This record gives sequence, structure tokens and C-alpha cells, in this order.
Amino acid sequence: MPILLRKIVPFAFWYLLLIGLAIVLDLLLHRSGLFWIGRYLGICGTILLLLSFVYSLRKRKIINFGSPKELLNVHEYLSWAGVLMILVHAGWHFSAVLPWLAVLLMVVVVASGFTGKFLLREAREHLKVRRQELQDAGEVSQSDLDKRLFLDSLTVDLMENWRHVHLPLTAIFAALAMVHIVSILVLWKW
Amino acid sequence: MTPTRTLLAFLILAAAFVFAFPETAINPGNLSKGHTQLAQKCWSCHKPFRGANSNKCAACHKIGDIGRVTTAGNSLPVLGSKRKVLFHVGLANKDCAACHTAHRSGRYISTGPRFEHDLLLVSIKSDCVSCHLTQKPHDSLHQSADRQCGTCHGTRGWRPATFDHTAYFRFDSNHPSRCDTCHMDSTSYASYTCYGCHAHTPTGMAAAHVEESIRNLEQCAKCHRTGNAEESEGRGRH
Repeated sequence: MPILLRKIVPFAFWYLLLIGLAIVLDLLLHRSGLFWIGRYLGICGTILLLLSFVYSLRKRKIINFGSPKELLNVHEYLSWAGVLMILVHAGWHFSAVLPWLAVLLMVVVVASGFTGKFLLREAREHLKVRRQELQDAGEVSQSDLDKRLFLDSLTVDLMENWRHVHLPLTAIFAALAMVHIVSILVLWKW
Repeated sequence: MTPTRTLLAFLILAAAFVFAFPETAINPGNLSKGHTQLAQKCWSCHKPFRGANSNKCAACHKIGDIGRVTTAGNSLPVLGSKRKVLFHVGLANKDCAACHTAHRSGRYISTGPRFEHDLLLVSIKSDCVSCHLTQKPHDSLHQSADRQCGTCHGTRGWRPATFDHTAYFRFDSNHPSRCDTCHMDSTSYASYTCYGCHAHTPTGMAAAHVEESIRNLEQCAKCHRTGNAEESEGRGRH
């Protein structure tokens, strides 16, 4: 089965779970009159996202503590939880363009993050095993091997570029989120 | 472009967007009808780091005029025979945003206190009808009641109400508290009937009371304040 089909299922599951859970939680909060909690979920979610960036600091050697692999796991879990909270915080309100653009970008950033987590890692491994299997099965020429694995190789090559999407989009999301936060601090009564 | 430069570039772009088109960029909900002309003028109502400012509200909405005349100076209609009480003048804490929001989705973004009757002066708070005149039911029970709705009702809602029916008749499992079981005429709670249930028929009651020479067989609750026939108070002999 091609990588695209084999790996798209867990990818879609975690992604749809995130969106679905956000919708359900938002509905529950509104039905129970506890919609005001959404405001605080925005703050909690932002803190979780900020904490998840410890991995980025470690990766760029700005800090030296913690194992990068473990911090990557923490980055993934904290981001997922933080994004969930921010999605509930954002809710189904479309009045202000800037925060909604930020939410849209955040959802795309999560998708690109999932690409790194589920697809790329697994796809690389799958391609390696598949190549080995074909080689073990008998004498297969390099050109025949490339021809058979063309679709899988193309998929992996495309996914290798995910970081070029993930990082700039994260930066744009951070910029929009910062302007949203500052505008709230300036205009809201705390 | 590095992520840091991307962040800075979009920070500047987003900030410029906010300054140029604040209504589109950050408005949390359309403004109410009377405030639409202020859509691009956030600082007409907001103070930096202080939110919507009551003094700025009062610049247009003179406290003494609220409920009396509009901000344009036009008189507001009188409610029934009485003018709606001008309670804003007597509010201890004149924090407009505590109860009002000019943005349509304000309900979802505000977590502050809402209107509380405790904010009112005692003289206004005790005169419920001055605000709730149109909500008073037209049945005899409510029409005969004075202006002290608080005797039976709380300030959180009209229901549950705590009318003490025991002074007239004590409910029990055979005599539930559903009004229309006994009070057939919903405009007059003074009238009621005990007939219509299997145990209560005019013929049966006449036979049961003839020995005591009781002839008033309509006002059962005059003697029977409970569902227990043995607990009659003997006031229906005429």
C-alpha cells in the first residue's frame, strides 16, 4: 500500500480529533453557560505553546539542558494541547480578521507539524524497508528499483520540504498572535 | 528569509493593518445600532489599558437622562401610566461595562459582573413594579399583591416562587401543587373547586355533611386546610 494511504490515516485521526474535540468543548462550554472559560483557555494555550518552544531553543543550542528527542516529544504534546485550548478560545466567532487569520495559520502549522511527526518519519522508514525488501527479493536493477519506488520516493521528497513550511508559518502565526494579544492588553479592562 | 525576519516583517504588517483598519482587524463584534459611527474610533470609548471607560460613556449618555431622553435629546415614551424608574442615577458604582457592552459578541468576551439588584438604592430595589410593571401577571392573585414582589419571588428569576399556600390549604400527595387542579379560572385564584376528583362529588359531600348541618359545600378550604377530612376546623355551618 502506498505511503500516502498507509500513513494518512493516523495523521487524519489526530488532526480531526483536535478539531472535533475543540468543537465539542466549545459547544459544551456554551451550552452550560461557561463560555467565559474560553477567554482563560486562550491564556493557558498560549503558555503551553510558549513552553513547547523550549525544544526550538534546545535545537538551536540557545539552551543546553534536556535531550532534544524528549523535548521534541514535549513540543508535540504541549503544542497539541495548547492548540486545542486556543481553538476553543477562538470559538465560532468571525468578527475580527486578525485573530482568525492567526487561528487559520495555527491550524496549518499544526498540519505541517503532523507532517513531520507522522508522515515524514514513518515514510522515510517505510521507503528504506521497501527498498531493502525489493533488493532481498532478487536481483533488481537500480533503474527498476527507482521505477517501482517512484511514487513513494516522490512523496518523501515532497514531505522533506515540510520544515520550509512549518517554520515560516509558525513565525507568521506568532506575529499575528502577538498583535492580537497586545491589542487585547491595550483595549481590554483587566 | 529567516523565521525571525519573517516574524518581524509580519509583526509590522499586522500592526499596520490594525492601525489602518481597526474595525476589520480586531473588532470583537459589530457595534450596537447607536454606536456604529464609532466603528473606526476605538478611543472614543476605550482608554489604553483601562478598557471601555464609563466617563467616556457618560460624555454622550448623561446619567440623569438615561431612560428619560435619548442622546439626541428626544424624549423617550412613558411606560404605561408611570415612567420607568431612572435607577441609573442611584447606582452606587457607575461602571457601565459591568452591565452593558456595545459589541455584539460582548456576552462571550465579558466575564465581569452583570446587573445585580444589589446595585440599586434600597428605595428603588424595594419598588419592584417601578421597573417590572409590564411583567406583572393579570390574574387576581398578582393584581391583589402589593409592589413587594420579593415576598414570593427572588431577584434571579420569577421562578421558583415561594408563595405560602399552606395558609389556605396544605398540599399533599393526593392534592398536588398544580394550580389548575383546583383553580379553574386562572384570572382569579380566590375561586376554586374541590369537585371533579373521584372522591369529591356534591352529592357525596352533602350526604357527609348533613349531620353537622353544614350547607356551604363550595368553600371546602374554609374548614379543611389539609387533605385530611379529620382536620376540619368547623367554620362552615352556615
